[in-house]
Amino acid sequence: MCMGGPSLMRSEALVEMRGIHRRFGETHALAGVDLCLRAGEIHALLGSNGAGKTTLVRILAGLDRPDEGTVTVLGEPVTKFEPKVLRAAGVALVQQHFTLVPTLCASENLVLARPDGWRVPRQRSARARLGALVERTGLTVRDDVPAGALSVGEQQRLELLRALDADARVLLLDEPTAVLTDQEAEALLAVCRTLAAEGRALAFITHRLGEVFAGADRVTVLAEGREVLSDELVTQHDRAGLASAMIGHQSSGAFTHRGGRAGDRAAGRLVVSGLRLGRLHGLDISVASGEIVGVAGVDGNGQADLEAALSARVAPESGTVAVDGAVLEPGDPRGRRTRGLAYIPSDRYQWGLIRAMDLADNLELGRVPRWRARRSQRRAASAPSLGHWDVRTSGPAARAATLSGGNAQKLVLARELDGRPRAVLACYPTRGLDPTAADTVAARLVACADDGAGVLWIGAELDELLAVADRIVVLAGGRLLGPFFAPYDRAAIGLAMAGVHDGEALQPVEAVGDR
Amino acid sequence: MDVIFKLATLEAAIRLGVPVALAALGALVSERTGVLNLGLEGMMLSGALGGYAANEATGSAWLGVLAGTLIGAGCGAILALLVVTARANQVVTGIAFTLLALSATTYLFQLRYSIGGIPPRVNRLDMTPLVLLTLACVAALWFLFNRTTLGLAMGAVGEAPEAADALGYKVERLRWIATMIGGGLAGLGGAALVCGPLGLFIENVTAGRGWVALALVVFAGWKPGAAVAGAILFGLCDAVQLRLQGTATDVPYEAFLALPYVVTLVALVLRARASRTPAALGVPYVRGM
Repeated sequence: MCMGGPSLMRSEALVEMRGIHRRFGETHALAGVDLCLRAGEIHALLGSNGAGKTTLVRILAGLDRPDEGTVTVLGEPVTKFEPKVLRAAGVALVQQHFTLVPTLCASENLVLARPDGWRVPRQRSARARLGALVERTGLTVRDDVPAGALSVGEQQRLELLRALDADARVLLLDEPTAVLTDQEAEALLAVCRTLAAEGRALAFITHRLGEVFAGADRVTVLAEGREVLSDELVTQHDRAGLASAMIGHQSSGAFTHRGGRAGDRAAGRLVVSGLRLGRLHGLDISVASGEIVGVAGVDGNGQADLEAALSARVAPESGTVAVDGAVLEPGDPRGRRTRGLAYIPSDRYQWGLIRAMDLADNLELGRVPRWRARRSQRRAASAPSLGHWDVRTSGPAARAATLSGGNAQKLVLARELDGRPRAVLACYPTRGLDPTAADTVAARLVACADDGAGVLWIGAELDELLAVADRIVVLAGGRLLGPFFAPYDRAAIGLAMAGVHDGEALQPVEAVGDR
Repeated sequence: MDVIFKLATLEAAIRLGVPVALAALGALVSERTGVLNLGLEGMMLSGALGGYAANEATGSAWLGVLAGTLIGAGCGAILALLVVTARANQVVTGIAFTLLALSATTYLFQLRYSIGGIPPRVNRLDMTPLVLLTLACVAALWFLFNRTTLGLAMGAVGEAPEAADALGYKVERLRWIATMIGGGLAGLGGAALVCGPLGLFIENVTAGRGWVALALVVFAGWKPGAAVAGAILFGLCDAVQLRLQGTATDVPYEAFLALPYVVTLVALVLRARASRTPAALGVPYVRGM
């Protein structure tokens, strides 16, 4: 798959980073990292969340500076770490959060990035410049709407176009495929190949091993700011080897396997009946004590409505949700909490945590007694819980914003699951986490079920659900299909996800995504 | 009622509207880059006093206008130092600046002119050059924001400072420039008031016109031409109420005084949903992860 051979012939080093150190307060984000990017090669940067990959490329783009170490671009040592300097040197970074100005259209964004003198060119010539670029690269993007109205894929293409407009010889992509559909991701990797063939050096950050083998010539694996694998040829490695390098230990299929335990079906702990809201057409679900029920399906088939209704954020049009026989008041999150239904939200920063508050306060949210203890006491009291849930941090006084994705999710778990909930609503609990953190989160939810809670797990990754769930139902077109029991028939579940069940075709499943 | 619709009323509307229009343009420039200038009223007042003093000292109304502009730009620099460089809260800092300017101008004016004497009248400018100056400012700002790289970058800094920074634009420098231009225009507006139609400085001479200008910027959706049109509308209401005060004697005159402000408020509410605020307005920029 990898075509390392011919490109190696002209592997002139365009970028050399040596012994890069970067500290943020207590954290040693980079502890002596080397990186070499060569013309004509694609370099994959692999690593868990918080391994230092993003910091490394930000330094190379001049958005951050190293505390120690040297950076050489095209033979010239970099002395001033400013975006302008490194852009002029030919380095372009496509960040995870795009840096387009949302109110400007595509051609105006190009002009902003590389103005031609003090005057802004007329719209016609700006459009011509964009058109020529699109023609040369085959990356299409609309110019008649503001950049903020473009799809994520289009915005990314525009970012790439902007980098190529400046004729960047070194292209850095921070998790470029995280926001793309599979087809878009494939197309992007193909474009990267072409760009490398033109003699550019490319580096991309990813969590997905498949992309390393599909797209990269060389790979560097970072873990906690250090290099585990440095600048090695991809062809010399296999998936298992890279996965273990990334995680730090040999992983056996990533998730805690769990048998299909029946649970006490008679006494449903979480019972949903006749739920209607948005796309949901009267759902009935019953989750027994000690059971994990997985809700599989393609995003946009009612998952968001199910989450909103069960978390009691939105009152359903009709239907009830009951915990241990007690019906929850619709649209009353506090009532849900007091009845013992814990909630792991799909977006932990929007509905789970308050970033500006410290960890101790985040732990107390939603279960504050009328009178609160002194701050020092609150912080001291939260320490054991943070330790038990393995939230890695500088201490209870740290703000939630300083946590990496995995630790933030563990903090949510610590708050939601600590009080031995009767039932748990977990929405994409492992989304965006690296394999180690995802594994921990899954294990915690399994333990919670073993403890007697009924867990409803809405998930996107089928493999994960197959591993943890005792029973799987599929949400497609606002209806539930199944249930399926272990040992699971992947093909049947796949068909159900496409909206086909027992030979009967449901109405077509609508497009992916809610945007 | 036809007294309202005389040509003289329109002329008065323009006369009363020009200082507000200039201040509104000033607020607009800084707000486009994300700096909320609640010190606008104070900058107008400072420019007004500076303009009056220079006019009185030199006998030239034009030198007065120039002095007012420079003093306004200086005020802009002070605000920029506080809210852009030191990243102080823009709302509190702006209001504090206005309160300080109100007291300071009152004190300095009394110290210099009104203790033991009647403040002298100063030379007055014709309206025509001031109107032309305002129109020139509108044209210049339109050109700045639509035809120059600097203006494009200023807009980017107000909408997406991270993006501008990543592209190598100096966020703080651009905000400094805009805040100083904005202060200069506010000072010019104040000076145009005292060196133009009034020819006189009195305590709190701007009487809230800076606040009206701030509201007009929102009303105008951050577009220079619309801001000036709004200012003329305000001037028209002001002119009308002045005339109504003279004719309708059975209504308390305070009600007429309030008219322009009420109209501004109503227009603002009606337009509130139509215009889009710069995304980074009022938010200090900190480069970070």
